[in-house]
Amino acid sequence: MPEVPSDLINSVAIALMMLLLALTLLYTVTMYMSSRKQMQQPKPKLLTRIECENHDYDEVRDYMDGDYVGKVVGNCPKCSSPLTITAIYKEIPKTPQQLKT
Amino acid sequence: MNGGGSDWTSILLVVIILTSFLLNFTDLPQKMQLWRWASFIKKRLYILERLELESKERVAKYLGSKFRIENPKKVIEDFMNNYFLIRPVDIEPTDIIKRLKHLLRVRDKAIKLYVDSILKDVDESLKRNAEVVLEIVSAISQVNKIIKHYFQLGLKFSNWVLVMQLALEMPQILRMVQAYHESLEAFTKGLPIGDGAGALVARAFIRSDVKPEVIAEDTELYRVDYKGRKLFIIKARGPGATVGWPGDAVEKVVEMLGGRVSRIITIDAALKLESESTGEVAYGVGAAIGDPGPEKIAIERVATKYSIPLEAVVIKMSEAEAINAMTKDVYEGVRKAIDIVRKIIEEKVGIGENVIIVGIGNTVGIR
Repeated sequence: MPEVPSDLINSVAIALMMLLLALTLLYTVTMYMSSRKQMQQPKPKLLTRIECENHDYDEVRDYMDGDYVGKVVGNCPKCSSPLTITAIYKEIPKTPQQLKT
Repeated sequence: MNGGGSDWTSILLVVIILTSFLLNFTDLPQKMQLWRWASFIKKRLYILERLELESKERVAKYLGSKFRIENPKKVIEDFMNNYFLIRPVDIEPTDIIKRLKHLLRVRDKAIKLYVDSILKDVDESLKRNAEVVLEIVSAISQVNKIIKHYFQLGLKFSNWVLVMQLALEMPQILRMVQAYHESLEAFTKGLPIGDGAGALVARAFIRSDVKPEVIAEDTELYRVDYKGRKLFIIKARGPGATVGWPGDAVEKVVEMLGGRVSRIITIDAALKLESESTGEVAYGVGAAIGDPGPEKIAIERVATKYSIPLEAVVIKMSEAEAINAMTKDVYEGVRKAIDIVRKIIEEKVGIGENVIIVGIGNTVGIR
């Protein structure tokens, strides 16, 4: 049996352990960052846009069941012409980071 | 100590040479790669499986609660695997468009009959939504099946190139399936989707008191006066999920007007390139419509027959945005597109002239 140099074994073992430790740390940090990023995604808000057909009034409110584009939902408070839904869309609220930039 | 060190070096040298031999002159690296790619695919296949299961459960719940169907799972199972379409023979291209159009219509009718047989006494727009919901589950299941097929084929014949290709494609496929899965929300709730951008632009020119005429199956025509011009607006019949037959409709309107049409303006959603932003609007020449062929060719043929200029306006978005509830960015694109269409009419169409505006796209949530 050849004699194993103990200093070489020690160096290799330490290097391997350091490498493993570094990789584990990197993996943990990456996973944590990605999960944080996912958690930070705000829930999109569904909005309904209502406009007067004479274009002198508009409002945006939360979406309600039964809304569809082209639906007449009342009369214009200014000119009494029909108020119709002109769009339904989702808006993703900006995160504090996005607002800073 | 020195002698021991020398022996250790010899062993290390032998190990290196042996490893080098194994890596260079055997299939071991490929086997290792194959194993790695296979485990990568397996993890994503679990996600695909989960998405398929969740989609089926969601649709079963939708059909059960909204339409009080007793066995919604059977309805889904009966729909899946069926209603496929065998594309017409293309080595003999004569009449291929006619044949494709015929097959598309036959399939469409068969699906409608199936849904009609299940959903009796239900509003037409809800039936159209249910059709699309069933199509989505079927599409997710089909993708899942195809992925499994290639994966198992690759493993069976140790075809590491096939497995590697599949692994590299998996993130993109997964993103697409995820988008399909999420789109169920829009169709079950009846929300406008990104693909409806063209129809939404057309809708902006129609006042609530204008009554539509049915010009083709699931397709409506609105006659509107705009600053002295006569607008003939064509769009699918909403608020159910349908794209209608705009090609047929344009053909009929042009023939009805004896070819006296100043311009045909088509507006549609278009897939953006990765470097482009959602909601960008571009205009050009041609028929902006992404159908398998028959509708587009019908517009091109009738425009060519009467030498009518074809204007195209497109609103850019990703594939996921096109099939999901409309985002604010897409809506902002719609507003820009409305302004462009107005400009085209005011600058290129004379007073008293006719112009056809075709809002292409799915009219879910848009009347």
